[in-house]
Amino acid sequence: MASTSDTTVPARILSTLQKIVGNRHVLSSRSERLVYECDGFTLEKNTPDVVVFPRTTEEIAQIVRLCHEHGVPVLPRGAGTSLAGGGLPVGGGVLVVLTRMKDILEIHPDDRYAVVEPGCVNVWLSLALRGTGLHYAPDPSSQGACTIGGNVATNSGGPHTLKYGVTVNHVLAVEVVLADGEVVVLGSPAEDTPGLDLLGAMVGSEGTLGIVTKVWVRLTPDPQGYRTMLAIFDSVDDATTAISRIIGAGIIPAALEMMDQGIIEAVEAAFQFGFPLDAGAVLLIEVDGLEAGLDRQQQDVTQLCRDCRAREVRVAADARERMRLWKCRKEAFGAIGRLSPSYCTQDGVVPRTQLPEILRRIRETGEKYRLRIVNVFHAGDGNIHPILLFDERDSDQVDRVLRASHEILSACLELGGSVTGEHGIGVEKIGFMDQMFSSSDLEAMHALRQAFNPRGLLSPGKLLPTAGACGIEQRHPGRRAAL
Amino acid sequence: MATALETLPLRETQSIESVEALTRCLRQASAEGVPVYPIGGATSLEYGMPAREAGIGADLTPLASIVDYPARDLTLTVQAGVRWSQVQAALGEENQELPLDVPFPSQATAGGIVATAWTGPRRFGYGAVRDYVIGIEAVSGRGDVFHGGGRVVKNVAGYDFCKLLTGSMGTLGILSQITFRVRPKPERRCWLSAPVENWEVARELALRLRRAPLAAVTMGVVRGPYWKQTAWSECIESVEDLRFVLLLEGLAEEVAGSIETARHVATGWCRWHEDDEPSLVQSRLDDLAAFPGSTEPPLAIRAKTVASGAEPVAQAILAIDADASLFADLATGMVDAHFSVFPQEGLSATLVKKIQPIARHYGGHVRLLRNASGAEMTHQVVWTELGLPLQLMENVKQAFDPNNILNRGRFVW
Repeated sequence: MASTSDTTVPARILSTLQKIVGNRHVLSSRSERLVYECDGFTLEKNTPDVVVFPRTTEEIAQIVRLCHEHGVPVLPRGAGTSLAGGGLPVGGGVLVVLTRMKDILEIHPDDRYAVVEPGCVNVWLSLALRGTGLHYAPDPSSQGACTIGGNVATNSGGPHTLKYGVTVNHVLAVEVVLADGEVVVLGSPAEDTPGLDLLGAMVGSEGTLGIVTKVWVRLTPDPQGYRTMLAIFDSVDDATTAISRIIGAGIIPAALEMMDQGIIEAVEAAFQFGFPLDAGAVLLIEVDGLEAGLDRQQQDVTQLCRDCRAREVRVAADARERMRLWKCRKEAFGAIGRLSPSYCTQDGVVPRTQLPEILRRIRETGEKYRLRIVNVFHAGDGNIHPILLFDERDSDQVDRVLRASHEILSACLELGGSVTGEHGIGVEKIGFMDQMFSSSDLEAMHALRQAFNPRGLLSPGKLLPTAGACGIEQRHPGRRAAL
Repeated sequence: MATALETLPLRETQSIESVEALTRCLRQASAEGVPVYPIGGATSLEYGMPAREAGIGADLTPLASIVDYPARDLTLTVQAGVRWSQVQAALGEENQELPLDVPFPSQATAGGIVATAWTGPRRFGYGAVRDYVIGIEAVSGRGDVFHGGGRVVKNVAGYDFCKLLTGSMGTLGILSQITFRVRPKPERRCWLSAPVENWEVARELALRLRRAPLAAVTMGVVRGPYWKQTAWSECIESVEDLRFVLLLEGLAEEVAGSIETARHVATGWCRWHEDDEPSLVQSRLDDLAAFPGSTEPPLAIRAKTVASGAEPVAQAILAIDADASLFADLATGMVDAHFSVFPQEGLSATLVKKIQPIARHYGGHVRLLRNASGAEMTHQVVWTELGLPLQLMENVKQAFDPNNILNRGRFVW
């Protein structure tokens, strides 16, 4: 991997890093480092000074100690699928890429937990569990690429969180390298460890409290059966009313996903599912669990959708049809490539009952900024994903995308929601933190970060706005798309 | 149940009528360096290390409002001092519930349940307190109000104070308001129970049941004289019997299907007795929930291990005290036990030397719930010596409560 170095990192630090992980596992030339200038959030970019690929916890501890001694920023990265810039090396420094630490270390089916390294790709674990009757429940749309360490850092969600919860509900313990290189274990597979729930604070902390080097995850029994339905509505309002009615009837579907007209068109063009192009919205609804209760739930959901004027409710007759219905949801993002050269996926949350209002506001925002916005999202838990279509080579469009995103997220806050349901704050949403939280809330968050990361060297410029006790300057990322 | 005055060294008690009053109380105490002991329903004041220094009791029960309950959003926001029975009653009107079962629900408060992260018998089916807290408001030891989370079910903005404060025993902040996500009530509930021959059979049966598709939310063994005075009495022929208990909840079809499955799985092992009369189902659940809070036994403990650790821990307890009463949750690895007599050799020799090592072997620990003697209340006895990252915990404590006024001396450091 090594080639000519042109990094600004002092030679002594570089050579120590090479000694720790081996020359082959250090990138220091600009052309190689450029690959790591951004993650799935492409609007802002900055190149790390050095990229290292450690293999063990001890190597990471040595790297972090070295950075601690020399005051060099250090941040972890998994597969780089963050959509909020969680893996963006703000202010440069050493980027610790965890993709070589990818093993599944232990599986305990009877006690329902597994131990994995942070670079283990999410779906690998569930693949390895096939035949055991268990699976790892959090399944973000990027599960074929994203790592469990990255999921821990951002507290990832996915389409099944409505019934099964997000990553934090499935992480039992983590081994962490702290800011000074000390290695600790937070939590335990037995859960309820006496003392503060620092594990709970670590999950979703975006690398600002430590680098997770091992993860104990909960394993969930496979459902005995599924019923997967696709309900087609003339209007978004009818579809959102149906969602409220389903939840109000006491049914908690395993997934409840919505696609609006814009995304239906794109999916149809790509995969020809036979969706009517004039449909206002499509709901993908899946109930799962014991076979005995599924037929009634399916009948109830179908009836509730019809009561809300669903034009048609399709039911997957078998596993193949189920996979086909899911394919249209999971590959919706791929289909967007047909609509525009670039897109920005936003992530906001509103109380479920406010979905019609936020979708109306998104429509208005699109019109105001002359942007096409399509929606495919986790409707059951009010987690919207408006996708803003643009061309990143056009600086005016980039600017309008940023302003429209801001307006949509502000609307989420106005409606009592949050600016992120599963992607994290990263660098993208730092500007919202003081809208969402009071100054004393932010001071408390700064105090927590200070307790773990007193010099601010771990993932600087993430999650929290500047000021407060830490004294770290907010360093803006190096460049923006098209600017 | 002991009162706050009997349990805590209080020089005064302040009635907290508002968040502002709590802020004032804590600012003044912080300035003077006086400990403040948060008091909710006073049902868990013996839990944790005993308070030694005279301080102020902050009575939170006047903060007793249900703030917001948008039932269709499946969320509920309450003030910390609201009684748990009131919470469940409000939810019941919408056919919803929080599946967190506690001792003394008509006294226990929402804040106390979250501060202690109290686990009840339906943990297997529904998870822990931390899984239900989605928004939190507290006042730090500096007297500053701070929040985490919000009122939506999915939210990853900022550090997760909901998790950090749950189970923190009020040592980082005194809770003033909590938002929970809630669940629809199950349509049908049914207890299956059966005598089992010995612990090995119980362990094997639990393993088989856990592998089967069942709507099970509680799975364990009750044993001992305590259960004779409860809604379980008719199931207990001899105090030495092991009674396997299984609570099924869900749609009517799911419960009916699960009964058939459980019968099939247990063939040759035991014959189930089936009870689904709603008030009996509830009283049996209430009795399981109340068990760890009982003030009768001279010594009560709660062990928590991985699932496979429950049976060896239960056997270790019975080897020390053959007349102990216990509930061993074989699905989550939690064992609640009442000793019949105070162990003559003392707590260090029994808990620390004999029971804690087994719990540790299965990844877990043992907590002391009640020690009528008051002797040997060391950190190791009360919480188990676990090699916790105490320095890190102290750093966090220092960040939120620099003068160490909140529940001083009662937690793990």
